[in-house]
Amino acid sequence: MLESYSVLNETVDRFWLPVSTFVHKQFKFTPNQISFMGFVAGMLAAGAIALDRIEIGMALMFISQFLDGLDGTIARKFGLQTALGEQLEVVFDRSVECFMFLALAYAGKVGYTEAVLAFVAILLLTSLVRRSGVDLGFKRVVLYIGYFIGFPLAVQLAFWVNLGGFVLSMLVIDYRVQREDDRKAIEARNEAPQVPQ
Amino acid sequence: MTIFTHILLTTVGVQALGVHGGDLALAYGFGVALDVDHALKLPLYLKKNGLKNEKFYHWRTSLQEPVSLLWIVPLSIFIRSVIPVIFFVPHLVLDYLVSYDKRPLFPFHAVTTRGFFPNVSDGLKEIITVIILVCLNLILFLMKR
Repeated sequence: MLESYSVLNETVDRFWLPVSTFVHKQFKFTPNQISFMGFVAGMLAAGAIALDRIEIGMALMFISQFLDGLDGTIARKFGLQTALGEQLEVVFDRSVECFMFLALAYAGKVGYTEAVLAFVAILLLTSLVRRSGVDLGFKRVVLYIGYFIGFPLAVQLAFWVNLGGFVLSMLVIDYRVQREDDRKAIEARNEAPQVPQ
Repeated sequence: MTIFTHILLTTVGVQALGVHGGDLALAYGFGVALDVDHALKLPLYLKKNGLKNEKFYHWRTSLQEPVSLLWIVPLSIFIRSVIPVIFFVPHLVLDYLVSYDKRPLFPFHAVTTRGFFPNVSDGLKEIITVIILVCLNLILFLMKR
């Protein structure tokens, strides 16, 4: 699962573990089914936001994120991690975020340009998250923050944080590749026969 | 190219476009200061070579490759200023004139290139570029007086 790359992973697992164990054993839900339920809740949240029912949207988004936390924990705990599940989660999460930002713009809370650019920044960061391990987690959470500090500022924050995360990801990957290349070069140099002076 | 050449080219752009205020910082930031990314690789270089010179060490990072347009274009749209793109592209062009290995699409693709005119001496290209840029700067400076 994608969130296994998050620094908050262990804390999330510890928090969700009793709940996820109960849900999985009681209702026999698979992680993918829970992911889909989270997706549906997220899309309903986007719909509520578009209709300017922000509080309802926030409640639905909370449910969506609750389910989002649950699916990964169940997958890890019960060894149900699959490549399909990983891809599905990314597609569901990004789709919800896309519609949520567009809903904010539709409701007149933020400009369309800012909403689209914030989502582009999230996509850029997502494109490298598996290789860099950099995931700042500042995506849907803007909905909650925006309620208190204003949505335009929250969407701006989402843009800057995710764009900065993308730049940081590029540098992290670059550094690691260079370190590996250098290590191999040093090894090859040390193994090469010494030429007498 | 050396940082001196980047400064010359950026100054040509600044004079030609009449850039001032906050845009001036953006112009020199994307035209020159991006080179600061070399510092990221300094510890690795020192670990590998100590103080010995390795001419073709890969100092560059993705920050100075065309792939960076992926974040610089959205940034330009967001801040409603074309300055980052306008000054970043000439920076790229200068860097692609020298024959060091470059990875234009890294980390998305590992393709490498040696840039434009790889068979012409880097020193010669740098000298010609510096002469042209000094002349352009002088002409623009005199025209404004």
